[in-house]
Amino acid sequence: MAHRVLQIKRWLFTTNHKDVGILYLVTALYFFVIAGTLALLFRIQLSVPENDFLPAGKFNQAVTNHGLLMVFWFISPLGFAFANYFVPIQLGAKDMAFPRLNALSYWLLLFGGLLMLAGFFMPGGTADFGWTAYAPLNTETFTPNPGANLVAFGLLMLIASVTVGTVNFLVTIFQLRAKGYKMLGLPMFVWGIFFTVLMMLWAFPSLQAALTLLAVDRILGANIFTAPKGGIIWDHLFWFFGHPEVYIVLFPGLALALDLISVFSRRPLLGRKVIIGALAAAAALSFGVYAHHMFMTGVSLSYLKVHMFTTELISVPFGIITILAILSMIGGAIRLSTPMLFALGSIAVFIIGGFSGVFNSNPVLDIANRGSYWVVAHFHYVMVGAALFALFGGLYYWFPKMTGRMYNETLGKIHFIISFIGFNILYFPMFFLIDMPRRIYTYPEWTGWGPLNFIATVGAFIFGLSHLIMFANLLYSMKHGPRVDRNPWGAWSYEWMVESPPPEYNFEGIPVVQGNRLMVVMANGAKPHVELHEGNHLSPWPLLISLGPFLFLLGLGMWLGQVKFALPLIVVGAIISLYSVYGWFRDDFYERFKFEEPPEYKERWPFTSIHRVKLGMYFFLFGDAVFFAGLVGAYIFMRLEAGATLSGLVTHNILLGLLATLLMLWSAVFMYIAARGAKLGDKTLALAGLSLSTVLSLAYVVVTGLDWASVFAVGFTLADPAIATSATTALAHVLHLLAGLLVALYLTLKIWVRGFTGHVPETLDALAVYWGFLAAISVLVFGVTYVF
Amino acid sequence: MGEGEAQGAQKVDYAVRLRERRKLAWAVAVGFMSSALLMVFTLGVVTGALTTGAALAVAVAVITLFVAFMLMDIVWEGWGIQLFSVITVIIVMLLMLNIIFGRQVMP
Repeated sequence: MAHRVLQIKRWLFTTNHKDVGILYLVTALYFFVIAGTLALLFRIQLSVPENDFLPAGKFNQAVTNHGLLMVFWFISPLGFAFANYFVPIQLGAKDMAFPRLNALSYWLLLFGGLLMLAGFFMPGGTADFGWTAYAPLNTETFTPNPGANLVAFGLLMLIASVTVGTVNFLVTIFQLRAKGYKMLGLPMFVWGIFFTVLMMLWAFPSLQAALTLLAVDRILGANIFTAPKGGIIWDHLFWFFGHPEVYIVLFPGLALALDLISVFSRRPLLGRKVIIGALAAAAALSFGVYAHHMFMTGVSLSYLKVHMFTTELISVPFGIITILAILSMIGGAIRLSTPMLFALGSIAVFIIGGFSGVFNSNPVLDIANRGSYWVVAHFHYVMVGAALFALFGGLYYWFPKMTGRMYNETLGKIHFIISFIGFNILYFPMFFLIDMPRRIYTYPEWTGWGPLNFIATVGAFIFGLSHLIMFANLLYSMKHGPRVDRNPWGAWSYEWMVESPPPEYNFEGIPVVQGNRLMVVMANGAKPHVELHEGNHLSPWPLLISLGPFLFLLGLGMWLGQVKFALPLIVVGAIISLYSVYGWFRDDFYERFKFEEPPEYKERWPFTSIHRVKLGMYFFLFGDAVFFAGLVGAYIFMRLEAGATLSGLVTHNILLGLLATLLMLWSAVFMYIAARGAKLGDKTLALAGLSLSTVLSLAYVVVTGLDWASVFAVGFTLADPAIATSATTALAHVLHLLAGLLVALYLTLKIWVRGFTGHVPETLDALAVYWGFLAAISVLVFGVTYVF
Repeated sequence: MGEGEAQGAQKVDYAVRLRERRKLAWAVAVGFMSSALLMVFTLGVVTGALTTGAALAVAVAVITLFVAFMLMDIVWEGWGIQLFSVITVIIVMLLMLNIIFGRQVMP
């Protein structure tokens, strides 16, 4: 009994990267089953003409949530399940750079998904506006379903999860590589994850800005996306995120497929550096191609031509990767084991998906194809076929490492054959349905679309049910599969050099790479740092700090939908949130949770002289800059386009605005001085700087509040989109500042009571960087929304 | 300063102390320079001596970047952070330019 309780405690409170990876894996597969079931339901509806299996509203809800769950809660998290489990081991690290944040990232993802699913149980149902949530369809006017609010809240929790995870992976890859392990020597899977998190860093904040504006529209009754041409700003913010998201979903699988091809061909990848360069080029270009999703919106033709060119250009690096992957197999001793079959299947369908996409880069052809099942086939071949097949290959590939047992190879191959056939029966007919609009719940018989739709539905059932073979195979083999040694595939990356399953801290010593070989060295014959790590992998706060906002947002969503028992949920959620933040700080105050690898044994290029906390802060702020750019950009758009011509010079009290900006600026200067005081070991200077900075920040909040009160007092409201967008920007800035103030108060107390213990100087240094960022945003917001 | 604090201060390397003090002096200078620039531009616009337009937009962008690069410690960091900062500025500009130029001109 006690053992069982300990097991439950382990899975709830774990911060170990391998446990977190398994939690990601189980959760991703859970959402896969739900999203897949939704797909089967709407495929039944479309299988024959004039079907009434699902009414229009339910059909739209099923399609919307299928898309969102598959993209955000299944394919990406499946890639990150493997990334969590294997990237630290492949780097020669004992865990992620921030283990608690890693667990937080998982719990935010899970509760975000549950929040989204809760939308189904709201009166009127959940979101039904498609995964792209085009404006103004996503507004209260056209989608009054209260469940849509829960979907937006769930996505915001997901973005929080992604932000935390992104920062963690970047710091881990940059600073926790084994000594002597150069970046170019990393496995392709790590490179794939590296470029994925880089795209996530700069892409997701744009969606965050869009959703924040949507929340202001839906909850506070603003008029941003219902304003004339207001829908275009949603398109910009959504697709600035949305197109890189395609590669965010694709890259982990694609990179893994390249590793699998290398391992199962017994050959090194041909043109490895070229492939890394091609991945980098594709990641960079992904931010400059997105307007091909907007060819039909009536935006300027010369602007579209630029995006047509860049879209055609982006096919080049993918072509290079595909050709090199195929050429790598020439002359190899190819073994067609299950992981290799899935890798080859992934490349095969990626070629079809990629070729079909090139046509859509041309505005003339795109106008014909837009919104048809051709497009549905194209993106499923890329996002499902290429990404998912490779990731399933990864599941089979790493199964022996995670469990220490081998799966049934015959069943694995049968799974591949059936799922590959089912996939193509499902999606290939859709290329022929080029004249059938997507997002329609039924169609008349005279269209002639019935037979192809019926074939696609049969394919959907074959594809969907084929995965039961995988589940049965893996679940049975977990307990009854034959035991395997460390490296059953003869692979070369470092996870295969540790036991199966790997021990808690991966390496019983210090991993060092010399001449591409990993060695684990002992210091003076001892096992260094093992003692330090014992028992430090448990913390309840990542779970609770996610549960609190989940309950709060669930209650808020229910309250907006006028559902009973909303208020208790809001109160309980708020209490848990506050208590868990307090608990996290308390643990840090007494330094109960210690986990740090000795930096002298780590490869840290190019960030050799910067602490991981400060580096993490920089990465967070690089992403946050895009969030504020989205909000300020929306304000500029409204001033230029939506008929809101009133300048901030008319609406605001300029002198109050100037005073607020100067207060914020000097608050940052004093925070910077406090950080210097900590570095100099001067307690008085640090405390004085912190105190003055805190006082000036609070004064900034008060003056900003007074200014906005004066704006609303003279009759301006959120119905004016320029006011709504600038007010949202100001609110976001103030909320950032209040969050920072919590940390400032904690640091003041800790320095006062305990002095510069633990990581206090580094944390204060990072906080000063944060304050500097907020001061810069304050200047930008004042310059754009007040002076112009 | 108490005995313990004095000991703590002595432990800090001379080069680090010099560097931190230089950074501190620069931060105060940045505070004064940025404040002066903001006041001049604001009062200029309010009194009508300066007109809003492209030149002012560039000035605002420059002050924002100046404050960011100085108070976020970026100028004192290694090239890795500086490279990421420049990439971030490019991506922010990309989003802004897309929003400004990607406007609806046809129904």
